Amino acid sequence: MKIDQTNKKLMNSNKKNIEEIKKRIGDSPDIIIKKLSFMKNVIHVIFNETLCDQQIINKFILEYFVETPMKSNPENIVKYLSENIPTRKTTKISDFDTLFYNLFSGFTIILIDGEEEALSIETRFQLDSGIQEAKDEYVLKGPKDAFTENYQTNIGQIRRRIKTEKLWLKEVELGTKSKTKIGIMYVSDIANVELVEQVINKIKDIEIDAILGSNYVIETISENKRNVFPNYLSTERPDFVAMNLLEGRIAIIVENMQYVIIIPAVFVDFFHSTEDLYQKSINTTYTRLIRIAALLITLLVPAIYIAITTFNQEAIPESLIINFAAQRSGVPFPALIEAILMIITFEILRETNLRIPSTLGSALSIVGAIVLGEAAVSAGIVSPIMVIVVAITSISGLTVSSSDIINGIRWWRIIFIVLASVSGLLGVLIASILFILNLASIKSFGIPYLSPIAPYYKNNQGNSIFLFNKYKFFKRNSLTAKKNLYRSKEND
Amino acid sequence: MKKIKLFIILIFISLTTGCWNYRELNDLAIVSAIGIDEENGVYNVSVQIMDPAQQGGNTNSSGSSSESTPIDVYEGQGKTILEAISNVLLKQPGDIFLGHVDVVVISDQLARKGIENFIDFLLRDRESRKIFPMVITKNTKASDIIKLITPLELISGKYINSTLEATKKNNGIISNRLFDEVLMCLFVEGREATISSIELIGSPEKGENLDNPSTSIPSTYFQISGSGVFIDDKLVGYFDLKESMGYTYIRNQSESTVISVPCDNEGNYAGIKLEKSSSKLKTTIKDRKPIGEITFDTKAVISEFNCKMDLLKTENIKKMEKITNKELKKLLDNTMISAQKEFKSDVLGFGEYLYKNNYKEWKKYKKNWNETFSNMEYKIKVSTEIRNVGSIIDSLKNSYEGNPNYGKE
Repeated sequence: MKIDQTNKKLMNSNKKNIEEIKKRIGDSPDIIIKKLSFMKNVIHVIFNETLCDQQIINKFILEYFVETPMKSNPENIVKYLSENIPTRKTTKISDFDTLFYNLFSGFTIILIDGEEEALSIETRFQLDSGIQEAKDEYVLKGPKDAFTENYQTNIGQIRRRIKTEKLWLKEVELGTKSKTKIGIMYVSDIANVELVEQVINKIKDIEIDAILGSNYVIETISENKRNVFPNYLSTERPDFVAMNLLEGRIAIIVENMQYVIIIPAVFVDFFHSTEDLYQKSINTTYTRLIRIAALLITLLVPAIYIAITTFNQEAIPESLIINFAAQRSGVPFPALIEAILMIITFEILRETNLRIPSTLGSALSIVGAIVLGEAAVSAGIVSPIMVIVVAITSISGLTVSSSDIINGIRWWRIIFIVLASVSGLLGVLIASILFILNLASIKSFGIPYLSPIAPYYKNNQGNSIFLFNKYKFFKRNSLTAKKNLYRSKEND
Repeated sequence: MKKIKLFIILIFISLTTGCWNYRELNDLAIVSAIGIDEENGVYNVSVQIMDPAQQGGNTNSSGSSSESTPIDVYEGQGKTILEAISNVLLKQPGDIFLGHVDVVVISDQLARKGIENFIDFLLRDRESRKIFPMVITKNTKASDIIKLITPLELISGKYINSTLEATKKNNGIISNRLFDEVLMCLFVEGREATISSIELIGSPEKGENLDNPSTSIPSTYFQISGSGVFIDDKLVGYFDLKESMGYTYIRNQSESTVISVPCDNEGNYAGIKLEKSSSKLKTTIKDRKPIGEITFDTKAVISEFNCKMDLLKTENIKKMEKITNKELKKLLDNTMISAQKEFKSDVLGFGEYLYKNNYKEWKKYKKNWNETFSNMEYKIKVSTEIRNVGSIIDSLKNSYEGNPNYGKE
């Protein structure tokens, strides 16, 4: 549904134009309209003081108009001005919609009395926080820069890393009110161009009044909307985007959002990180194995603990069972309630920690440590072993840096625990089957979610769980890259 | 929608199982050892239950485990083992949990009447793992062993288990340690069973006391005494330690064992460690009579040497090998004679060899095999290979008496 009125052309009278502008913006005080005279012409300079750089306006526009000596009028004043005003970018506009779009993007509009065209001059002010260090995806050795809220800066940061004409950018404008720019970037001689076209078409079909974050885009175009697992990566690191562009993936950059989305992503991709590029391949393999082990721990440990202590006691080593029994002897709750109690307590602490101002953080962590640890045990509410189980579960849950996948895992952890408490290790087995079925049913933009493991692609094993030098330096992922599978011709 | 319905149905199916077999850990009475006695046709089962409160895991008791015993023993009587065990439930609250049984002790009195009757229970029970060790007592009631408080390890079931394991590893006396091995013996044709035997030394009453291990020599303790020899499922007698050792050699059940051999005529001995041995049994029929053959190969190390002999010389090593062969042959012979003449029980499996390799002949002897076995002729071939003489070459005696420069700078 289009909300805007019909596009009205500019009129040749400044008075009428300004009346129209004032009427449409409801006389907002942050729009400055300044009347000047220039070479016998009446000129109105219009800009938004919150979006524009005052210095540029003063120095290059107002000063130019005031200090240029009076000469005879040029034949075409619009053409003359657009060629002579000393700024980076000048465009001619002839209708109100473009005028307002430019005005609210931080451009300065120059209306010339008697002309049906106006000029718009770029005077944008840097409204973002500037390029800062990556906070969420920290790496030990590697560039520290992260994306900002500025669309142009973000694209520049990617372009700076892949300096080729093959890095293509397609732009779509979305949101009838927000008019947000969506950039789709890909390397044209690697990526799957059909997929790019599909994605662009899907994005164009989105009808919404405002796009306020990259999730708005990805959740509408993604084919698994109900599943808890994401089929896209979101990152704040330009180098990670560059790495994935070179694998044939597609990056979606949303204006005013410091997270860039990469599609398609499969399950193993969540265990890859930018760090992988800056370490030796063989050591990266070790790290990846640790990450996968951590995933299994965070998913399975509470369930297995409940299963073996309530159903399959013969599976516990003998010296442990007597310890477990001793620790459990004073606890009033069944193991299931005990586990859920502790897990929910931890989740509450985690959520609080994310939301509260950092100045209160230390108080929270002290209280959390006492509540979760010593006090709960000595009060006899939980057993010490349960504290260990929940602690190892939670810590392991933090090794995967992507919060998208961990948020999905949390649901599954509860399913595992409930099934384990209903039918023991058999329940864990059933839950595992359901879990794998669920993962196997996901498709990420046409690619099976568990590939390259199931279905098994022999050629892509080198960069899934393991990382071999060959794949870091010579070969690309053949699931995402459709052309030029080798990084250099010599190794073909 | 269909999918969601199916999912909900699946969840309800799994939830309506009513948590079958659900038990919290602290509701269990974890049994560490079972002792089975018998009197006038009634089984008396003593169950040793671990007391978690007396173990290290409890946060409230700060290491003061000496107040009460770490194990509780309950006895129950019944016509079946199951009845006897369920009678234990009259005396304590926990569910009897047999998943962690460390040892099953059978009294000799019961073993003489036959063990097959109650083995059915141990085999049929879902919980118990079928790999616990079994022992029979010698001149002792099983319940007395169960009640014994042992040093080092607070739970005596575990203590007996680890003692058996260590002995098997280092001395090779323990035969058919585990329940499934005993079962094999009982059900295989042509081989009789043996079960390791232990005896109690000291008074049983003192052994129940927590003070028992408080002195450096416990007033009451148990000791591995050899192994009991069975015919069918009935105990007929005991091998002593040496005979048990010979038995494990022949049955290939020894890992690493030690024997002493005389190395000169002055009464000095050498200690030989047998590291890798293998034995082969064979039964051949000659003139319608079975003849047994034992081939025993071993690789040995001289671990102690007290004679004046230069071990650098090959002929001396050869000489030692010969003496070892002779000693080993004596040991194996001893076991054979005991099995043949004393017990008339083919525990070694000559019949089994015939059954497996010459079934036609076996059918002829099957009915009366133990009788045939007791009169069977046999040959023993032993070959020893000494591979190593340890960290020093010469014996100390040799180096200072044989060396003219000894004592001079």
